[in-house]
Amino acid sequence: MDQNVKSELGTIRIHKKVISSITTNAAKEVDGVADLGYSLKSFVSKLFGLNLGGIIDVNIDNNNEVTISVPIIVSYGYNLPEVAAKVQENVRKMIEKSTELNIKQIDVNIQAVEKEAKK
Amino acid sequence: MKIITKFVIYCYTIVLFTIGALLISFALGKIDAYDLTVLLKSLDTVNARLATGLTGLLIILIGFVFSQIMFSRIKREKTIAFQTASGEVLVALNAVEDLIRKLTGDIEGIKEARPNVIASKKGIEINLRLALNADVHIPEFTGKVQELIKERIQEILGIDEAITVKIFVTKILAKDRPRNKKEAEEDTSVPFRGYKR
Repeated sequence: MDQNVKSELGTIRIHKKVISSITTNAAKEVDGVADLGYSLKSFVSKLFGLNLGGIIDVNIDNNNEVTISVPIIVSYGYNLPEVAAKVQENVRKMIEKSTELNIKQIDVNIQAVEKEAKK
Repeated sequence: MKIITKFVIYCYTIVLFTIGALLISFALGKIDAYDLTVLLKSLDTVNARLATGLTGLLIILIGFVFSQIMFSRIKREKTIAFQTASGEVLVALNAVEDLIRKLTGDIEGIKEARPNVIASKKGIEINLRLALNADVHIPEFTGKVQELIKERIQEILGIDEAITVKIFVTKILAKDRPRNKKEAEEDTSVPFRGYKR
């Protein structure tokens, strides 16, 4: 399901992939995020060349509210709750700025701590 | 719990309960083998076969969904979760183990560390298997390591839950001694040394 935004001239449809893409960039911008994490769906997509969706999980409910789940890998030396909170904040800010959608929830899943030292 | 999750769990329980009850009834002689044969023969029509096949498919589907639910629960238990204003933050226990490996890697005296983190209602339990250098005073050293890990994990995760650090010293290894000049020279191989025509 895509997200619909109504304008005076008609309806603007925003694909989930767009939200996913903005989320990816916003999460990677945050200091302390080494990379995005992984998901079984993205692994299977990559393996079989299917289009099952990316790493970011985007759900839109009946009230047109968006729930996003972001798996991340954090660099060693950073405070994990602080990095997670910054990711939530930046993702919310960037999505609201770019799409004016209603964000219900942004779940952050810290999957690993990268061994590289803090820059 | 979602309605669909509840529905699948109920269906799965009913299916298993029915199969169990049928087997027990058969064992107790409540169901006659002849009746079973008659029942199976009555299913030997196209429509009955179709219905049986669809029922089998449904049972497989319910089993699959049930296993997915159970696996996702197990996965959830392998994380430390906390709620923020914007949503939920899950920290995988693997991430905490990575962190401990890195922390212990910076401590002189530890040759190898294998952490195992368990999260329960009582708090976080860290089981750490260590290979140490021979020159360390084990009780003092492990005490300091326990303190350090406890403090750092509490600080990095920002949690108030109780953290227990259990250390198992699995190996004591001799400290790498720097090779002296003479040994190094002896090891140097000269090309074609000992070669004769």
